[in-house]
Amino acid sequence: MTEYILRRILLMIPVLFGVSLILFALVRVLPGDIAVARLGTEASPELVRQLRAELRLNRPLHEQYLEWLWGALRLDFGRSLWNHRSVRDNIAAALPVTLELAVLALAIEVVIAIPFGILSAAMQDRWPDYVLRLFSTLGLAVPSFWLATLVITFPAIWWNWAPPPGVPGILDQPDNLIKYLIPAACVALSTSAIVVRLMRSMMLEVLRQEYIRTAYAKGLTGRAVLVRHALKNGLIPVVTIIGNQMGFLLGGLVIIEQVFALPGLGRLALDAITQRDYPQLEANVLLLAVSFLVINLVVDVMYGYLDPRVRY
Amino acid sequence: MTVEQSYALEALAPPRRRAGMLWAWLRVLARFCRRKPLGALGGLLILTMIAAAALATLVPADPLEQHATERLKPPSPAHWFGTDEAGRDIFSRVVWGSRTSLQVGVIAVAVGTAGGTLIGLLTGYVGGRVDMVVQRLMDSLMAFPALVLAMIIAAMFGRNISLVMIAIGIVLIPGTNRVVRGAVLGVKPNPFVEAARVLGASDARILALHIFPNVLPSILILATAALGNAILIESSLSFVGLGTPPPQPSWGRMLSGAGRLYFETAPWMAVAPGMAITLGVLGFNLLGDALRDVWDPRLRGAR
Repeated sequence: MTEYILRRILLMIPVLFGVSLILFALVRVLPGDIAVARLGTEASPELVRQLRAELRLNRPLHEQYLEWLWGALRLDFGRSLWNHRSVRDNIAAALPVTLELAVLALAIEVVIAIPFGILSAAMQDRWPDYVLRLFSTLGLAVPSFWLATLVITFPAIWWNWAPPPGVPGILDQPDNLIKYLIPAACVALSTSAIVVRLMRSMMLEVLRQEYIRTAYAKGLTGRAVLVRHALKNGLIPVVTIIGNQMGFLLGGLVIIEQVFALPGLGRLALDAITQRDYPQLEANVLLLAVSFLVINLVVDVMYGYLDPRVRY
Repeated sequence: MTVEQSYALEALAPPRRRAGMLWAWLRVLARFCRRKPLGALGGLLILTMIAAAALATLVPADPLEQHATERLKPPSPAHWFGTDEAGRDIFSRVVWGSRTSLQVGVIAVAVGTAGGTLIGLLTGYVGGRVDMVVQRLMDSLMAFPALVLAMIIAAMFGRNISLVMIAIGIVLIPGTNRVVRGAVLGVKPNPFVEAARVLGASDARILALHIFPNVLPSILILATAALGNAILIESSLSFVGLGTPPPQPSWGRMLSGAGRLYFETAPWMAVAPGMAITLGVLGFNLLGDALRDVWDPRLRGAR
């Protein structure tokens, strides 16, 4: 097991290298010179050259890459070209917002989607199953930003209700939960839909197996069979999918943070794209990609513990 | 008469035969609709979308024309879905938007499927060090949240609809590659591949005539579902202002920008475009699910 974990971590190194290479190539090739963007198109070429030198953009790309990579390894991403604060401080300020949203969305997935998936399987081809299947199919198709728009628009019209203003801190309850739960639910809708569908099909597969019939035959109640025997095996692939979904979830947060005006990592990244703020954009996206990889590593390792048949 | 000639004649002969073929296809279609009603519903939604895109010119109202006197009008017989803050007819914009979505979706999926299939076929077949390196690169691409990657690429390429299509296509490559490569690895050990090689077939011939046809159903299923995904990504990109540039109507952009200020006084502006996205994506998802059940039992339950 330890050997497996080590091997997985070693395997992550080339992928991380690829991530850094792709990211750097994409961002530094962005047309629209930051120097020109900041000084205006009428600035003299002399001034532009000066600023480029100041921002160290005038050197060969491979030197820029190596310097950036070395900085990234020390978690030093330089200063934002936009608000001149250190990139790390900007991220530190935005991180709690995104983290809370992600944790809430994940909680919604686990607490709501998994029981619904089990219910759907247990009631196969009866009306709760049909209703749940309808909703999970729809949930996959509804764009989160539209749902968010409706949730902001219609309560305001009907009940004159709006989410609390500003960004309440985590200790500022219940405003904090009201403010965060709705966006989290909007993002979690489509990922939950996938979890419900997978949980259902996994349970159906497990329920057809012989050891389940044995469990019924020895006189156990339906609930005991479902929870104690079937769930354990049915849950394993679902855990993997929840890990894989994290990328989708993090991407969805970019848009949701925009709609609800929450100053999280996604919004910071989107602003950085429009403002051609290379260092900020690179650091944000790198953080998103690395957390995706780490989460998946953790999930894979958990898989080994959950399923003793998996031998590494 | 040689055998080849008789085949040729048969192909030429045929009013009756062709009618027979048509009936056979219709029967297949009817059986599909009976067994997979949800898949058929998906097909119907897709056909509606295609019809809207094809017949958009028949809508009398111009999707771009602004009428100062007709601003923010609720739905009425004259404007079925109402008008927006610039007095443009929303029904017309939704219909024309289906053109944008389909156009972007189809081309993006073509790029993503072609790229992913080519890479998956080659690396799965060749294996070894090339496979190792390319797959790590694909893993790297997959580590980025798809939407964020699409945003960066779209921003990099600039505001041009064909480049938005390519951006979405690139995002779709790693997923397709993974499925195709897996399928190739499954097909490769079959005796018929070895038999072809013994008969002296070249690698290119084996790939094109023996492996590719066996992987094709998986690719088609994947492409159908990817179309829904591509439409969703396009609308998200347009929503944050990095997708289809104005003035071309786009469902995602209809929900964003200056119009948002008026949603509370004119909520119909917020309803129709989102409904259109949902139904379009739903159509492709339903059809994709049904095709998966019919064609490829191995993939059942997978994403």
